[in-house]
Amino acid sequence: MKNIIRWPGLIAFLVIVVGIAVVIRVFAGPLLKGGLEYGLTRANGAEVNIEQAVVQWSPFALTLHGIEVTDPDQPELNRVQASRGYAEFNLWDALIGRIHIHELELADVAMGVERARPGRVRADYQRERDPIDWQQVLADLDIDIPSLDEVLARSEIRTPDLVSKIENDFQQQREQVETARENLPSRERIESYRERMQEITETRPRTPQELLALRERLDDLKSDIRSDRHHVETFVSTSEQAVRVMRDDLAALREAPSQDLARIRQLLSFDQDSMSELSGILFGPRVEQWSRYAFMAFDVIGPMLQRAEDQEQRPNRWHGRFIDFDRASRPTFLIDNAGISIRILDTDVMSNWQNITWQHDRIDGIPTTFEAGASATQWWRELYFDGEFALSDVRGFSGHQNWRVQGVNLVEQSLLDHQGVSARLLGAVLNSEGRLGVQQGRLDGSGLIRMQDVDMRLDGEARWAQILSDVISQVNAFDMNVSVDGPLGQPGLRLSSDLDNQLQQLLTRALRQEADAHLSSVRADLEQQVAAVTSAWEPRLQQFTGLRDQAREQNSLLEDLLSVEGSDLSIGEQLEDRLRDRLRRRIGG
Amino acid sequence: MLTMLARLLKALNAETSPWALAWAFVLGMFMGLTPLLSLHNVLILFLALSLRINLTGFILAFVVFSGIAYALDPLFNFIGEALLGAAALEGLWVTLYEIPLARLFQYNHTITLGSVVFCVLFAPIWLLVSHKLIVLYRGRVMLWFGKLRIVQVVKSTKFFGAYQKVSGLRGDF
Repeated sequence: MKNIIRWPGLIAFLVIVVGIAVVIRVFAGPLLKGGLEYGLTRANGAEVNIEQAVVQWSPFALTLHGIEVTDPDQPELNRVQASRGYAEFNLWDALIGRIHIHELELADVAMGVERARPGRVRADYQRERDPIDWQQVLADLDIDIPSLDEVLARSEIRTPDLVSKIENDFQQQREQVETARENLPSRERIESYRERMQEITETRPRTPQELLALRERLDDLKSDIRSDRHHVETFVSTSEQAVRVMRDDLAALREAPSQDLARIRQLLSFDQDSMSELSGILFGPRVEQWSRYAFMAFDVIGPMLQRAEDQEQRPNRWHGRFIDFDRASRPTFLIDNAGISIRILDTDVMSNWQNITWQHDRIDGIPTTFEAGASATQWWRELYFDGEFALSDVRGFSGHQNWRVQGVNLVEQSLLDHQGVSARLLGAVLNSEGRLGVQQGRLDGSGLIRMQDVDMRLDGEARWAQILSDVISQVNAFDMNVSVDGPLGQPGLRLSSDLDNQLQQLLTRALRQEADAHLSSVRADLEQQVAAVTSAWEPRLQQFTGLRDQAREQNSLLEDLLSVEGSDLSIGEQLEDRLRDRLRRRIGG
Repeated sequence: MLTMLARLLKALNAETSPWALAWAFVLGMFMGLTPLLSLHNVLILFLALSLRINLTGFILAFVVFSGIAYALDPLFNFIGEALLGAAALEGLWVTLYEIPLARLFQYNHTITLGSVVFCVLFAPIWLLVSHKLIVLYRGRVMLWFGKLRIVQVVKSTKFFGAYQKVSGLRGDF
């Protein structure tokens, strides 16, 4: 044995091996810290910091302190951070890439917290979706506040045109009436017809010759009456038309100033399209921040799913390849139980998770479940999240998350500070509930955010901001509908709210009040124009009405006179009596 | 390098056992042909350091076979693909896949498995060939070699000076 074994070499080998083991044992924490920071930074796309890593060898466990994951899209914020993370797992399995964590504890998890200094973003990081730049939306918004002069210029005030048109109409009607009136028979002539008819009807023919002569006189008289009656009928028709046209025109003219003012007030309102973005500008960034908590579950599972999507290694004759003989008997990543304490508004909300994996088929399809809840605190009345999800080869990634928060007291916070416009939420009570689903790795869901007891303040140099600052304090409550759609890691948010309608109505009301003083002078001017026309033409209308009535009476008299027939004269006393009675009744003689 | 070559010549010319040199060549071949950063190479290194084999021969064999390995990698890859893809062996591979130690040996890497299997099969041949060559060298080539005019010239060179310097040292290094 002595000739075979080279003791110095054997001892040197053992010394080296033991030395490496000691180094690993002593420096395992720093080595793991560096390795994890490097690997997680590559996966995250931006700097990941771990303050300290402590290894416990039996049972094997790793404790990380001060975990900060930079948000690659906003390097000044942490995508997620935790004060402490503890994981107990099997080391041998971990060495071959099979992570089975029996117990995971994460303390003080928070999203969107500002970093001490901005994190570095990897040069090869590519964001999946350009986030909505609400401040750019504000810059592009160009809220159009109409001025009164502009409105008057494009308001098409119709009263002056109507005055001119009606005066033309009246002149035309007047000429027509005057023309028709010139052809009217005189009073004397009508009276002569009546006297002649009276004479004929009072004559007592004693012989048939006298009767025939009397009938001829009657025929002559009726012929004369018919020629004049045509003129009377023409006048009646013309005067009736004139009266009708003038009455209608005067009625329209009296309404014209009111209609013009109503139109001006309508134009003194805000463009609905431009106002539809205002709630997004004010609350969009804040809702995005709040939504991080709603996406909490999927933020946890998202990075794991990316690992699941890793492609199999391609063959390479010069470098070879590792062949996977995983027959799906055990999951390559599984956390049996996890307790994650989430930091929300200086309060810890405890969430409990079971069966966190992306290989749910390997644990008999049992989904990952989670539940987070907190009883009433000074910040809220109720807070509750729950949900489940599973990744299956057949069904893909599917799951849902529900949330219900009640009575959240929002503290003073900035909503907007851009281009000289600043908006602050001084206080509000938030209630929200909703559901977020996942199908085929895409998020789809919606939620309602109900704001009550709202106290907001807005300041700015822009004219719209000045007007808005007056009315925004009048908003006491509003709802926001948030819809979510997009890939798991980069969901897109859409925000709609009745706040926009409220602000539009309040701004319109404020604008109209501001314009009312000027509009009253406009009204007075228009009404003066109308009064000038009506005062001139009202007497004319009365005159035309009187003439029309007189003409109607004349027409009626002539009609009665024409109703006497020659045969009526042959009856003697009866004729006399009937004609006398009729004439007395008709003409009041 | 000259010193190392000189040491090898010394070992060849000296009383070092031909088997010790042949085993050194075999272990050097293992380490040279298989991927360096593999767990089995720790075992090879352990054997090389612990057993009384010629370390110079081991290192030179490692260097030479490392160069040859680049040309043979496609062959190793082919062998590894054939073995790991063999249906008859699938049960074995699946079982090994669940054993952490086997995974640490990277048995499922095509070039690693192919090169190890090649080395295991080629090792007896290479051992015997090496031994035979060493014996032949000492019995015939060394004498004939020493009479060559060119060797006479070499003996007057710097290299020969180094060789003579090493000859004065004790031990196998």
